[in-house]
Amino acid sequence: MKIFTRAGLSRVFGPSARRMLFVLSALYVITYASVSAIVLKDLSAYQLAAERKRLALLATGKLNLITREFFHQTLNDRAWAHLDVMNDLVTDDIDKRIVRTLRQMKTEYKLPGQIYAFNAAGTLVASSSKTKPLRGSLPRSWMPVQGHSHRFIDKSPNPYSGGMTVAFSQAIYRSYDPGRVGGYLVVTYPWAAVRALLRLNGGHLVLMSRRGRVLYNGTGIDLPPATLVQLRAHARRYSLGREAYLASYGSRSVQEFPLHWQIAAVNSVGAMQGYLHAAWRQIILWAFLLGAPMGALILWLAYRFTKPLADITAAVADISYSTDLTRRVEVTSRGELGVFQAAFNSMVSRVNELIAEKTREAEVLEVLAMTDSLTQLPNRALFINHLEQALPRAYWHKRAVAVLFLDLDRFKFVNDTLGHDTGDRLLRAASARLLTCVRETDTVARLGGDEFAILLDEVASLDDVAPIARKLLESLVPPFMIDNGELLISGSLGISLYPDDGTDILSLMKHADTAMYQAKQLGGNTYQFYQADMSAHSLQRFNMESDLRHALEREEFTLCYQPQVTMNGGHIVGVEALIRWRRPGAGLVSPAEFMPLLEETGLIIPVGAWVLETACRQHQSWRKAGLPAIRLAVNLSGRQFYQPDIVETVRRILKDTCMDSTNLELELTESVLMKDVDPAVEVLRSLTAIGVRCAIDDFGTGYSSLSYLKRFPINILKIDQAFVCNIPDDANDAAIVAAIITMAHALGIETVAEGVETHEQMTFLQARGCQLAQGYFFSRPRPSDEIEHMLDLRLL
Amino acid sequence: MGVWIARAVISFALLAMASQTGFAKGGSQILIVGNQGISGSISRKGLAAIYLLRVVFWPNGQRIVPVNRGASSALRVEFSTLVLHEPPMALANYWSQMHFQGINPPVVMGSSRAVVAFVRKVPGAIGYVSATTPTDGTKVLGRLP
Repeated sequence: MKIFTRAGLSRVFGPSARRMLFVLSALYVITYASVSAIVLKDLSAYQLAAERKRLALLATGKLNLITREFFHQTLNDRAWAHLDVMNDLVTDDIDKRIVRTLRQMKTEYKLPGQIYAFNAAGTLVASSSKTKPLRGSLPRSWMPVQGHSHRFIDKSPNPYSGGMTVAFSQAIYRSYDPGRVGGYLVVTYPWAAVRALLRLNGGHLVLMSRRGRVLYNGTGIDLPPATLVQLRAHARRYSLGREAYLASYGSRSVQEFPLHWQIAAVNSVGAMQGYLHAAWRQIILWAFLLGAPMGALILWLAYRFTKPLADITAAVADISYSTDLTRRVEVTSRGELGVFQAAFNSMVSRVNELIAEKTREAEVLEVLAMTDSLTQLPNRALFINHLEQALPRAYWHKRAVAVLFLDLDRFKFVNDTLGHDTGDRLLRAASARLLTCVRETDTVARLGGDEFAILLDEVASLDDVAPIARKLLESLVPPFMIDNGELLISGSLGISLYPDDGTDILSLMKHADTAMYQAKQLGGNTYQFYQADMSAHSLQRFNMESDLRHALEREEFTLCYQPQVTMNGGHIVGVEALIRWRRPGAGLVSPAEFMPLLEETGLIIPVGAWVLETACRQHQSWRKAGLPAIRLAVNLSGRQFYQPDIVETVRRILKDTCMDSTNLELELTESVLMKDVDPAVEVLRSLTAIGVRCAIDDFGTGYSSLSYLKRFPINILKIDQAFVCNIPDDANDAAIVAAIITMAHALGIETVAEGVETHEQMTFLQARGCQLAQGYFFSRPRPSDEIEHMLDLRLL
Repeated sequence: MGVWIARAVISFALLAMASQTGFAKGGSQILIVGNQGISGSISRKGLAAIYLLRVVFWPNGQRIVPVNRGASSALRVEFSTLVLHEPPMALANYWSQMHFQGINPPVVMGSSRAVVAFVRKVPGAIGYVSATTPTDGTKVLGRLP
């Protein structure tokens, strides 16, 4: 099985499982060991007790065996002493009857020793010994003690046979003379026979006489006196050298024979421990026999319980690393673990669903947040995001990145005049065209309004960018078909390059914007690469713009008036109101500088209204001062003109200021009118209808078709000073001026020459029939009080 | 005590008879031997009384120790027939009766030599031996028949 390898073990069993394995194994070992120890201890105690009992039985048995044997010998001895044949002791066994009898007894009773018969004088008369006829006398030690008929003779040498013997002596009383001792009968018991009786299996006997003499030592070891003392004192346990011994003592149960021997059965504890060693071997054997299935069981259990947990743990780890929520664990178990596995799976499923849901929502939100809802192009945020990613990439690859800002020229005009719907459609169409011009890796974004930004990723050089810029601009050239009408539009494109023009997003975008502005300044429909000096200009413009926003409320604007005089007589018949900006810290700023900004920012609407109202009010104050009613010319910008409520605004101001509408003259540039002819005509008609007179300003500089002049309800043409300043020397200009005047006459339109500075010019114009003129030749623009003074004096 | 006195009186009578009558001499003879401490002679009747243990003391108060031969001995048969007038087997009943009274039968010796040796050693002993037996150290009290 794989799990038994080290790696497999750690894979299948985690630390907890291994701890459990260890604890269970330890539990098994401890339980087994303690049970074994207890069993062994009991076994050992039991063993000791049993051994002691066995030894006691042995000792008692042996003691009783000997006692009984000796008792029998005594009985025999006594019986034999009473035999009639013992009468023959008197005759010194002349007939050898005693000898025969003794031999017969020895044979019959299988006596190990001999029988000796002594007469009353102590002379040996007969014996059972066959070896030789013995002669001798009774040893003193064999003689019964005074007053006793018999005697037990302890272990001692046999004077007749030479060996050690135990003997029983018995007084013989003759049948015819029972009152006196007639002799002695002695039965010997050789020590060898005693030894044979004492032979033991397992354990040893120590035999001691009453006086403590060691009669027999079966241990084979010389017992020191101390041990003998212990044995005599019936010690149950004693030590000899390193060995411990158990001792048990025989107790006599045969009372008839007063044998005063002590028998100790001893055994060394070590020898006895052999049983315990065998028990140990059994226990260890069983530990393994039981341990193998126990171990297998423990492993199996741990595997059963930890495998599902390990699987789930692995799944959790997998999921947290790979975030793969399709991962599932196999439901392998029944019961709680199976429920756990299934629950885990359903949890992962649910989490997966939830995350998918959230992801979808987030994607939608991100799309919403990152794209422009109108064109579906990336918005500013996403563009910056892309740019953020592109810059490091370009840095590593040592490539360039181009940021292009594209602004649609005249888009505001479209939006203002044709409505936002049309503007929106135009933006969509334009963005679609822009997208066709770039690679897929590039980004086209709409930053807002009519501003687009294009990110060209990883461009090799500046030369690669220019063709794309051209392509982008050219894509806008074909007319857009919107609402069944053609719309012509163009773009202004500013380009900044990473890393030449900046290394951060902010500067790249700012510089592209600056370059775009530059392109716009150049008239649009062109592209500009960023150049360092652009920024100063751009900054200036920015500052001016922010100042302009506050100029109106801070009343920094003032009006001055330039008189319009008749060619014939030089009478002041009107004034043109001209705006002046007294910019704090900069003095008077030329309208040429701030007017485009006003126009562009839309500030022209309130400022224009202010100009109109202020001029009208001024006119009324002159009138109230009793001055003659003169014509008041006020310029209307394109933006103002195309305001849907321009007519209403004019009417309201006239009413508010109680101005006579016939004295008001609104000046519009040629290009304003030509931008969108039909609405222009409409507005002009409406203005004319309320009595306001309309003038075309800077006539001749635009490219209007003369035929339109007929359609416009125009009262006045103002000849651009560009023509006027060169007459009469420049023949062409002179011819144009003459033609304009002639044409105007023919159309019944009054002509005003602008920028008349010399007498020659005045003379020329006068000769050609130009009715009115204005310029430095007559008067520079003057503040209202000076005009009032001039009017009062009827100057000019 | 009465019995012992009676027996003593009887033994005296027997001795008196023996001294008067005496024993026949010659032929296949049986010698009656006694310990040297015994004085006087003995009659057949006296001998029978001794061997039937009716008389147990000598006149001098010495205890009489009769010595018999084995039951199978020819001499004993002859002695029994001559003195007790009955073969030894016929006396079995008598001895068992005596044994019952606590009286042991006479000491048995295996041979005439042994009888002589015994009688010589034991005071008051009396026995019978074949005529050819040396009787050194003993006192021949009489002959049978």
